[in-house]
Amino acid sequence: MIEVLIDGILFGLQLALLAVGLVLIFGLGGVLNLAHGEFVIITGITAGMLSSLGVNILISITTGVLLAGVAGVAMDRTLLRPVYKLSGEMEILVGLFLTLGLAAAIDGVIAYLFPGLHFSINVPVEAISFFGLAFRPSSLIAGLVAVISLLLLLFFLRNTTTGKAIRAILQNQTGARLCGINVDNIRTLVFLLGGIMAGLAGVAQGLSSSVDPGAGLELTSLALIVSVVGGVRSVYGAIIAGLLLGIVNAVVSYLVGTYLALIILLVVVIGVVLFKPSGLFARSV
Amino acid sequence: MWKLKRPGSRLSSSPVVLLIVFVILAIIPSLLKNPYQLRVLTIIAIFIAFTYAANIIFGESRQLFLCMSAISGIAAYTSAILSIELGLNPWLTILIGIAFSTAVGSLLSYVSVSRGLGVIFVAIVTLAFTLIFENTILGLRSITMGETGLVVPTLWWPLEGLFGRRLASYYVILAYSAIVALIYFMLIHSKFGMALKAIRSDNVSAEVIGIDVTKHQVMAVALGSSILGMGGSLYAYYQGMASPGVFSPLMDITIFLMLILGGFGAPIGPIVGAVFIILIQELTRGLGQLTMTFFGGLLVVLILIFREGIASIFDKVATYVYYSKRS
Repeated sequence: MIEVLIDGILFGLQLALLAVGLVLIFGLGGVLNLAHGEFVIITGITAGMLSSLGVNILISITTGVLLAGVAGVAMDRTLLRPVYKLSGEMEILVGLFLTLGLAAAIDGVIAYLFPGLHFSINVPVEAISFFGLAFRPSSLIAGLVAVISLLLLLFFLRNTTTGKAIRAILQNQTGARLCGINVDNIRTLVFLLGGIMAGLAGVAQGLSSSVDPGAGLELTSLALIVSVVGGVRSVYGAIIAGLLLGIVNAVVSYLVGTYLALIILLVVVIGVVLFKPSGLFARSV
Repeated sequence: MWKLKRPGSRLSSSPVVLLIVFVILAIIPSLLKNPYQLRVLTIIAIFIAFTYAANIIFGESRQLFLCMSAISGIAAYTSAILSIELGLNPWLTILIGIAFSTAVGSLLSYVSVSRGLGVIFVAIVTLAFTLIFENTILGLRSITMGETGLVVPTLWWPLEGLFGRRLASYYVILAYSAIVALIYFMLIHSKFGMALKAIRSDNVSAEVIGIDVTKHQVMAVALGSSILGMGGSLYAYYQGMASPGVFSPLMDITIFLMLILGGFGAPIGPIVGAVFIILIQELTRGLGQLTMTFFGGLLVVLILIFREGIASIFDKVATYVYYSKRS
């Protein structure tokens, strides 16, 4: 049972990483990034391939994560430019369709290049025993990577001027603009951050199990689910919801099987959307 | 964007053009040589109806349902399972399937409209529903056969004796999509269609002038879902199987592509969109997985520079010809 809980926490941390990026991008860009799962996969494939080619593991991970960040920035600077000129429902719709198209395009290329392959990042350390439980060290490293990056993100948002600017925009874009914050630059920064966070989720997943190149839409949906439960504009909410759903998912799949667990999770999400659309843990950023 | 603004000629919404197009579609099979081409044509006919359904749900009523594949899949699987397990008459199972998908679609619409969900939340709820459907199909392996799909009994198509199986099934499906087109045409010129238009431009004002917003929105989705359901069941019987590969999120993307390519609100739009996209799909079959990339890229390009759809180009050309004649 403890193993199940630990698995749940690990998965929850990955979910939190996934959702945090989505929340940041949605809060600042006003775009619900349906290509978010593809960022995860890009990193997973890059890091997995480089490390299996014998490249130093830190270098391969960094390359993968940076690539996801660059993908985020590229998306912001090119594809999504026209979206920011729109407003209201149209902004949301155009953003959704554009990122959906991008996701399909990336999915197609990946499925073409790597049919049926899974990528994992292997760490050359032996299994550790801890309080009588055996751990795969790579899973522990994955958890550590996730915790550290989430803490760094929170620290950045809370204690730096740029972080405060981001939170200001999340709360009120016009107000932030009036205070002299350059929303365009901050938005690009946030796409970089969002991409990096998604990339780190990919690293965590590659370390603890393996990245399935065909799972883009599934990962995006997971991120959506978590961010909805956490309250779509709250970073804290996303982290707590990620952990909670990770644990619930692990326990329920242990008890009733994976398919049913996912279905239960999805039903919970629909319930949250219907009865508490602001999310369970919504708080100001 | 996506406003119905068609000055001058209204070629794309003329009922005569619609009639001519369907007559052409009915004649084409006599020019075709091999069964493969007829098959492509049949799939075009099914997707024409699907795109009309999307045009009612999203185009007219502005509800972003990302679960059209699941709604039509529910009907397909319901009718397949009922005819296999209970041995019911396939046509009866089609009716039951339609009832199921209509009920599910209306329920989804009712909860989202009555809770006042914004477009994003409707998208999330329906996307979650699509995943629930997929996982249920994959999880209930003993009934649905999982990924391999469910082989369904053969359906007796009317006029089978006269035309032979292949052609009869094509004509039945074409008749179904022609009726759907007629329904759509009548809808947008009816009081109901006007009410939807009013809700679309401002739902609060619509409510104020006495339009029951919830009722109209839900009825629009119910109509769309029953079209999707019938198409799904017919598709399954036509293919001889119901498989999760067909009723997957890719189907939603395909339908939206057809809708956007053809243009919103134009009665001829879904036909143009379905013909173009299915033909492209068949021509690019050799690309394998890259077809998906192609479609994704196409969606991006269409949304960025081409939001009014092909149907509007016909109108522009017609308007141009019209005015150049007069001067």
